[in-house]
Amino acid sequence: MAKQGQRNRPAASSWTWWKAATLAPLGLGVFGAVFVLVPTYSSTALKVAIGLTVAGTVAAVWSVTRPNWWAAIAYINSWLFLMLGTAMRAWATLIPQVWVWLVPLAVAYLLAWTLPAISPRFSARILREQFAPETRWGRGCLTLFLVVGPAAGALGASVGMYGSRFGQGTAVMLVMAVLGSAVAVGFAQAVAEQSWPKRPWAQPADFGARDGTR
Amino acid sequence: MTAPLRPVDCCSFIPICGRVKKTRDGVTGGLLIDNPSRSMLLSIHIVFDSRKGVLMKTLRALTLAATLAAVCVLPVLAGPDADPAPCVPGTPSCPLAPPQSVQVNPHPLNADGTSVEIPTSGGLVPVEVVVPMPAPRFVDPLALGSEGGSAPGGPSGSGNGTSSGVVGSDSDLLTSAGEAGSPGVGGAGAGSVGAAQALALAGLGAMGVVATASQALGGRVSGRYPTGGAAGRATRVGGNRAGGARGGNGAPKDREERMLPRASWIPGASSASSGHAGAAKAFYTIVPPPPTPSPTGTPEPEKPSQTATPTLTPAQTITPIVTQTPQAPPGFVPPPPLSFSGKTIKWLGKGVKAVQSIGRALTASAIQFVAHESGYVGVRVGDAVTEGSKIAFRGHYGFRGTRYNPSTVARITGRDLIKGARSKWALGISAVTSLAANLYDYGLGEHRDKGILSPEFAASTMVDYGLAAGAGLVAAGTVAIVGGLATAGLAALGLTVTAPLWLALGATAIVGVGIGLALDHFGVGDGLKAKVVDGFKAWGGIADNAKVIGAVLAQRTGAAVRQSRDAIISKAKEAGNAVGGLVSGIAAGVTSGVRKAAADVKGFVQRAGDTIAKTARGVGTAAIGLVGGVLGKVRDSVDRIKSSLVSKLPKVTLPKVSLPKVSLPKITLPKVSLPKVSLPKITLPKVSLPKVSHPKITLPKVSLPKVSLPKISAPKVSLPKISAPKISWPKLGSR
Repeated sequence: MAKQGQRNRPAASSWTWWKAATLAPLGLGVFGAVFVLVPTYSSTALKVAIGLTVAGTVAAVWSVTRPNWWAAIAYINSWLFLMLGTAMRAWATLIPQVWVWLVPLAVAYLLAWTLPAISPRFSARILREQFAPETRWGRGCLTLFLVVGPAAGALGASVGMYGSRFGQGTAVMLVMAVLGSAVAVGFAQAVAEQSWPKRPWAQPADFGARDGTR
Repeated sequence: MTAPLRPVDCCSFIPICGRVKKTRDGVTGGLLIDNPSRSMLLSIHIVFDSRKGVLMKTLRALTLAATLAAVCVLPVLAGPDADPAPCVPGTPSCPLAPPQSVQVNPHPLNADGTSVEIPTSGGLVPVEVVVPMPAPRFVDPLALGSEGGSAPGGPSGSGNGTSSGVVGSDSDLLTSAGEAGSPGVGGAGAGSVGAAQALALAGLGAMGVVATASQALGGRVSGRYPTGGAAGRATRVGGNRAGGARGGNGAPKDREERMLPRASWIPGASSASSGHAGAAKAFYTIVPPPPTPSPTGTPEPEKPSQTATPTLTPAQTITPIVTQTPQAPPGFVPPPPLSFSGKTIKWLGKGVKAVQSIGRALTASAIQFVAHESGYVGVRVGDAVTEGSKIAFRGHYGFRGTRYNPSTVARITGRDLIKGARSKWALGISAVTSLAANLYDYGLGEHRDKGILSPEFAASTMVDYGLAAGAGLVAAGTVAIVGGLATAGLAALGLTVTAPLWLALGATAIVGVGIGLALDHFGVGDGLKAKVVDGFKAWGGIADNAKVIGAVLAQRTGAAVRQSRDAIISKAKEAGNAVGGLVSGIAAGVTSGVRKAAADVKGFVQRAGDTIAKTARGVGTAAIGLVGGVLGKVRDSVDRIKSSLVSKLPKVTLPKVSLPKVSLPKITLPKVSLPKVSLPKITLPKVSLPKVSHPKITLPKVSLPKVSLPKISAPKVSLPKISAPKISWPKLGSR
């Protein structure tokens, strides 16, 4: 395994540790800033964001320099937690009863990470549907995303700016809550499905056996 | 019809009315139709109020029969299989079906009786139109292994190594041939590889590499160029899919079938491994396959589509114009769809361009990323793109090579993500949203008192547009950075994590919303707008100056134009006068000549008469004098002769001189439309003169020295008292 890893490393060695240490706080920091500032500034959120950013940076540097499955998963989770936290804050603004949204959201997130172990076929099918949709809804969504894709950031900024300006803060929060939840859970499922076969405790026979493709 | 029964006079039967009653001779005949507006034929009840009997039964039976006939027979007759009436071609009652034609004169003749040779026209070559579909291919690396290693004649049924249609089809792929022949990659890569192209088409980071192969599935391949890989390489270098028959793990057909999750809704997708033809078929065709030229030549139709008209002039031949559809060469790539000119239909043209850009994005889905065992990422182009144009197609999206480091792939696609944020489409979205929001805000919303013509509206729109576009760029850049890090971090593990398209877009949108909220919350936009408005006002003075300069220029231009106009007018007048003088001179000359001639003739005649009269008088006087009163009568005779001679003189009629009509040329003076010089309101700057506060000049107090003048005491001059002497006048007597 070590030799295999050594052999694979040159392919990914273009990212040096200092580059990762420089860029990881930048990328994670933007998500952290969103987490801190949306819907309003929160000192608690700031502390959490700083912690997640630092942890993610360390994990990124670690995973770049020394291949480690846990480090990579920690880095991705730090990113997803920032998005999930943003969604939670938005949900909390909309629905004061925390358990109404927190329980489903937490369950969905955990389920997304564990789905490859629970139902490999279903997990693989979900991922495949996102890439090559076979259903009508999937095709429609893909077409929609293709059309609005390049303007996603601009559209989001427009929603953020004009929504609050016109007194539609609730709608903006709803968009943020739904979007953050979906992206966090979806990303978790996609990462879990794709990284599950490379887990450290996997048996060699599991490679490819749990991807639901055979 | 017997007399007693007397048919009911339902002469005015109106179905819609449903009821007609008419009375004749006490017999009331009523025709009742239930629910007449719906099913008249199925429910007609004829009721005779007076006499129910044979007639009613007969009519019932007839009605029932007619109803059945109408229900059962008429639809059959009206159907497409119904035997139509004999149709005589050429008659008006026998119209032609649209794709057909009629040959008016099959054997046209010339006037001399010779037959007309009608050259045969060319046939229409069928044009294959294939609509590209948004179909990201889901490429399974296992298919590579199965392709390169499928046993010859094995049960896979993939025949000539075309199970995936990926490796063998890409003849451009030379450098990564060995890896592509690797016998398979881990299952994780199954989803990731095909996913990357979805990111590539939208410019999203393909965060992933499938680095390690599953040796359990791969047939224990070690090294970069194992046997199976060599087989695969030979396959690709030669471009012959038959090479794929070598090698092998002998993947059974059913397994291969299951390992290829194809999109079944794509034409041909379900036949990925169903044999030679089916396997080689592309999932969808972006570029239609070039037509194969037939060695037998162009097929000629048996009959020309149209023939000559029956009325021919002698020796006239018919030369039908046949436009041959050019045969497309092998590897022919159809030209891009027509782009409309933006001059006439500007917005439509822009819309078409936008659609075209979307279409290009869709075609990018043909790019596929394949993870190699060595940790590199192979970039290949699917069968949807014809051979020979794959390199150009791949290079168009930034992949000029076939094997990349995963971080390089992430960088390229991440760069494309940022490119997408800077694209016309994204900027257009920003412009539209900012314009719409500000139109509402300044037209109906909070700032409607300022209006949409105010500089505040312009400033707000500009600032919002810039902020939205900038936020989109920042969001895209952030996601690209995070994705690139994720790629690098996981690639070090030999792991591919590819973000589905919607997730990357969702993350970008989240960042965008957050940035937008933050901008609005911290009032960044308001501050910028205030500065921009100030700038507008400052520029207003510059604009005023420009207007003044423009006005001066306009005035000078107007003066120059007026001068030119006056010069033209004066020249025209001079020319007109010159022409008129010439004509009048000619006319005056002719008139005076004629008048002079007439006067001369008249004077001559008068002088002749006078001379004769004088002579006669002289003769008469002499005769009187000589002959006395006898000759007095001669005088009268001479006078009469004189008058008769004068009367007999011919009347001199002056000839009518018809002066030539001189039509003066119409001189149309050019309309000199002076430019409207809208003098700008020159608002003189308020010159606030500085208040000049005159300094209070406090003159120094000059304390003059006290000059103590010496007291000049004038000497007392004691004048001597002059005592006048008392003069005692003597008293003059008392009275």
